[in-house]
Amino acid sequence: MAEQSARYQPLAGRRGIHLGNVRAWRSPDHLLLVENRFFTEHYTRLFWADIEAILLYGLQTRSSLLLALELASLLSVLAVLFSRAGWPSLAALVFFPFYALWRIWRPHWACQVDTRTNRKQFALAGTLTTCRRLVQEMQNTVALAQGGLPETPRDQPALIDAMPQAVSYRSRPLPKQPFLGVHVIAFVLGILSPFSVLVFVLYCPALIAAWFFQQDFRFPLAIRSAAVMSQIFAVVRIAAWLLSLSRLRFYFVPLVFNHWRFGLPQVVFSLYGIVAVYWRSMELAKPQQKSATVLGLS
Amino acid sequence: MACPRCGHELPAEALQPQGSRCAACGAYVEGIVFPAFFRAEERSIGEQVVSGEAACFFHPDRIAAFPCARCGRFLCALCRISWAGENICTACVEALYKTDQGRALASSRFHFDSLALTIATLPILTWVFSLLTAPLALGFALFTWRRECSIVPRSKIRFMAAILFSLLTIAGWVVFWAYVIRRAPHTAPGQIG
Repeated sequence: MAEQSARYQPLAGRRGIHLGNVRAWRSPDHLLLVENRFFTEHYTRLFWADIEAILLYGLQTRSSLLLALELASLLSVLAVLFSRAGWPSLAALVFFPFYALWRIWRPHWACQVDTRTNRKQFALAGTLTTCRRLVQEMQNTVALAQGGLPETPRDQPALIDAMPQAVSYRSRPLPKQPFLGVHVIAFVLGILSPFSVLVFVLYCPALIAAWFFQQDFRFPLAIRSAAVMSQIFAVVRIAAWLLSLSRLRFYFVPLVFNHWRFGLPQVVFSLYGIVAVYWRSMELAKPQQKSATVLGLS
Repeated sequence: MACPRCGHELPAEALQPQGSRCAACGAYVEGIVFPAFFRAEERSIGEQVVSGEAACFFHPDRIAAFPCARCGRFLCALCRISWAGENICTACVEALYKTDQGRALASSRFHFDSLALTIATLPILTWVFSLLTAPLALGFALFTWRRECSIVPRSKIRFMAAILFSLLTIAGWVVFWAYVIRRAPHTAPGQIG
């Protein structure tokens, strides 16, 4: 095992680029992408000699209005929940900056690696400069394996010039988009959950499923944000529910399941979710208008 | 060429270090194309065999280009699989799966350590079940300690955490039952009340 593991080195000095659910490792002859699904990791090997193109592109994560709306709604919810509490308000004050930092410092860039038979996308950490350095490292390794690139590809676009202007890139489909239905189910159940305990019981497994499915970085920002916020809210509700069932008498136990204080957060999160989903529908509409196709019919 | 984010057609300028923006979604894209892109077509087409030349074992109408490094069969460009610096055939790849060397071809690994840790820690929500799950997690962690959880470097920290947490839980239960037994009223056998 040790011999096998020693073959893999972290890409760009990081211990596996670990954003989203894919990590990238390099070995002398291939790039290894490790994708985690529950308790199993799946491997994809992209051999340096077979890599045809590497693309660096921006993700849909820099929508500042939506981010501000999300943080504002979270802050308002925390303020309402812990307005009269003592130490929980301190916990909320600590939690909020951490969440805000995590939310802002999300992956903004991703990499697409194409081979003749495969196309893989994975998120990259850090700024554009850091990502460029990482892509450069991959480029150098590919150049060593294929032996055809100039020393500084950025300065010498000889290869680019050799390429025909109307490049006929083989029409490989983009990787399958993650399944979004589970988010819709969780979101609808979350809105209806105050009206029925049964719906709330259904809401919890839907959230757990959403938690696993939404890890993929390719999820649109809006859907992903709505799912994350729903999950945070659900955790608060579950904790309050368990506390109300227990015999422990904390002084914030009056914040019980379905207490009025949970009504306002529910409304805030619902409004946030509606805006987020609407935003997503607008984003989807743009490419369809440009390509003049609707549901695949031109 | 398609935009990696929305699938919309990108201009050829995108394949330059300066990059460009997708007209549809506004995504910034920059990229580079490698020689394999241009070699792919010629590599996929094997030449037709003519009389007197060696033919591929799997495609008798194609010229043999490489011998398999393991079984010696002649292979055309289509059948050759480059693995660890050797040219091998598909039959040898299948055989490799069954050997110890085949770990380099593994497509997945199960995280025994994560499962052990989950079994050890998850019942903290419903503490009653930890009476069963703690020994289960401890046994599972010890039993699978030497199993390979990943082909990339992975520490044993999860195993250690699972074992530690299980031992603490078991110790907690022992203390709890000792306390209950000591506090229980002592009654003689056959005595009621």
